[in-house]
Amino acid sequence: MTSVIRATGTTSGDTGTTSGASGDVASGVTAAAPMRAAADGERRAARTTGGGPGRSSWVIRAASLLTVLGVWQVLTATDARIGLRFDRLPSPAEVAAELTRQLGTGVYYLDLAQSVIRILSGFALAALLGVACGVLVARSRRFADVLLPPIEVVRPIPAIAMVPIAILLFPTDEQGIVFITFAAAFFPIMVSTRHAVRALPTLWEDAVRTLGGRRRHVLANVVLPGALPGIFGGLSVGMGVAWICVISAEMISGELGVGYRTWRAYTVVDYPGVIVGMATIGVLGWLTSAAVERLGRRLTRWLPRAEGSGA
Amino acid sequence: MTTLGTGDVGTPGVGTGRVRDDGHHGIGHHGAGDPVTGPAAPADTLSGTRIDARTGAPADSPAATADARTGGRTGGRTGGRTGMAFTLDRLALGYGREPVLRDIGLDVAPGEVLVVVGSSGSGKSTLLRGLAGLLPPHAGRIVADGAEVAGPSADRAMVFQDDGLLPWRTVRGNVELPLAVRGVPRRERAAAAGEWIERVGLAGFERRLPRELSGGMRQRVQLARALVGAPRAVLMDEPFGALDAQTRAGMQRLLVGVLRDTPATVVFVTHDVDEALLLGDRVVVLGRTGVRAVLDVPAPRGDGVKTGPKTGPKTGADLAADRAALRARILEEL
Repeated sequence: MTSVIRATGTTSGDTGTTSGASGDVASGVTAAAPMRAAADGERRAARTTGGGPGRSSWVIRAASLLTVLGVWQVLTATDARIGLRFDRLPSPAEVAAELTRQLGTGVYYLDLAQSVIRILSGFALAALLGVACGVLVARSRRFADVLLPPIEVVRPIPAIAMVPIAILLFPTDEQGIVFITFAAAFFPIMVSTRHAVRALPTLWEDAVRTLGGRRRHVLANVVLPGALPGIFGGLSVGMGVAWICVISAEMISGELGVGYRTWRAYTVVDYPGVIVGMATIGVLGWLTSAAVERLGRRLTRWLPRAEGSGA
Repeated sequence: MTTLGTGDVGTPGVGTGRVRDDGHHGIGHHGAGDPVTGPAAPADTLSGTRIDARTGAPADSPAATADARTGGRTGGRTGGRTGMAFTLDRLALGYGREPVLRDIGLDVAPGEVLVVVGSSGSGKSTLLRGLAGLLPPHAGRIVADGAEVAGPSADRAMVFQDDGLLPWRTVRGNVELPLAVRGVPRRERAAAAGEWIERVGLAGFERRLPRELSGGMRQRVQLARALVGAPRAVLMDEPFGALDAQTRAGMQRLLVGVLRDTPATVVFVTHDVDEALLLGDRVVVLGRTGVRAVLDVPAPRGDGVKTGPKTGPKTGADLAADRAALRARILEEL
């Protein structure tokens, strides 16, 4: 079945998926001789799986991105002043030159790695604790009574407003930044998990219990898999806020990282450098979100609409 | 305790005959049209004399009840199992404050197929949830093999109307679930699940997800999942209610065939009187005021009606007439 998933991810998804499915059907019908007639009738009713995004879809996506770059190039090359002053904005060509220069330096990769490490550790912590906390609060009245009041009070505070406290509490800047990232991602993950668990139909739990399942079986076989679509909604949002906060925190404190470098470029009026930093954040954020999205899709392909929708 | 390879999992098609064939009239005799057994149900006639076939101990001995709680893991082969007996005593069941069912008294004999019919809102499903242990009684007791039902157990498997399968598990994953829950080793699990998947006619569909199956196929999977753990009672809540007529007929035939090989007691809820007559040994008619009638089905699940005077002293025409009368009686009680 993994081949099917992989196939749906690529451009030739349609053909790969369909042939796989019909192969299954054929073997099923021949093997189930006594029930052939009935199974055959039901087979027609059974849904076959659709494909992923087609080739044309990718062409459109690339064209969209190139158009934005093109417009930017035109606006800066013509020194356009249409309310907004594009005459002082670096052009894509200047930014590309600066990027090429930076790609040749070791510092660029050091910054990149530092930010990625921060985001991954903060986000992993938030995912772990957020899901655990969300499940506990949704499944147990007692835990809800104990945990929810402080959580609800802290939740409206923007994570970035916790920077002074983080600096005070943590011995190193590094820990503080990871904490800010964690605090940002934790709440959306926790809240989404909580709602997803509460929204689960009781039918599946009843089914597992009448098959002899105990609390831990219900948790492992119903609650966690059933809540996954909602959990991944929270993880996607959490990854977004985590980037916002890691970059902001790096701008305030820290000696390395994409956010720190971007702010440094601004203080020395190096605008191409600022935009290189921004673009780096954009690409990193996009990659990490796509990774979360992809993992979510893979783990929730049992959803009725999982296949056939865009990547 | 060592057991055979498939000792603690259900094996389809190797049953040594239906327990109810010889046991029904001895234990579960209720004359046609008998009124409901009174609140003081003779529970002792069941638990006092019944010997647990697997342990050789009386059913209500600590060993036997402990065994029942663990899902009969130490049991022998399928043929050695017996169905579960239920006694409902002045039972009141419901959600929230107001009970849906009041003062229900009923005996379910080991190995019989008891069909509960009733209009919607009569509490058929509520009754079944009570038997499953999913709904604690407001008043009265539900006794299963001498022990009061305090919660769900693998011995009382339930089949739901629709969507009872875990959508994130494949057909095989769903069928293996009851075995995985009780810690059956992986290889044994796969073998038992495979046999049952084949038995319900879904060989080749093992790796499909529920959403890739039709409604009828999903109910086949539910049937396999309920029976693979060799439960001593199977509780079926309108399992074919959402199916079209043709698929439903196929499923009923499959069910009759499967039940022939398993000694489990079956409580089957439906609103379809013809389905009740087709499947049941006895039919319980449930109305808004509780149990309206408990009726015996003549020549249960036999094909005498269709193929002529084969079964017993009665002719096919007699049987057909009996059934028509019973059908009329049920409709009148509803």
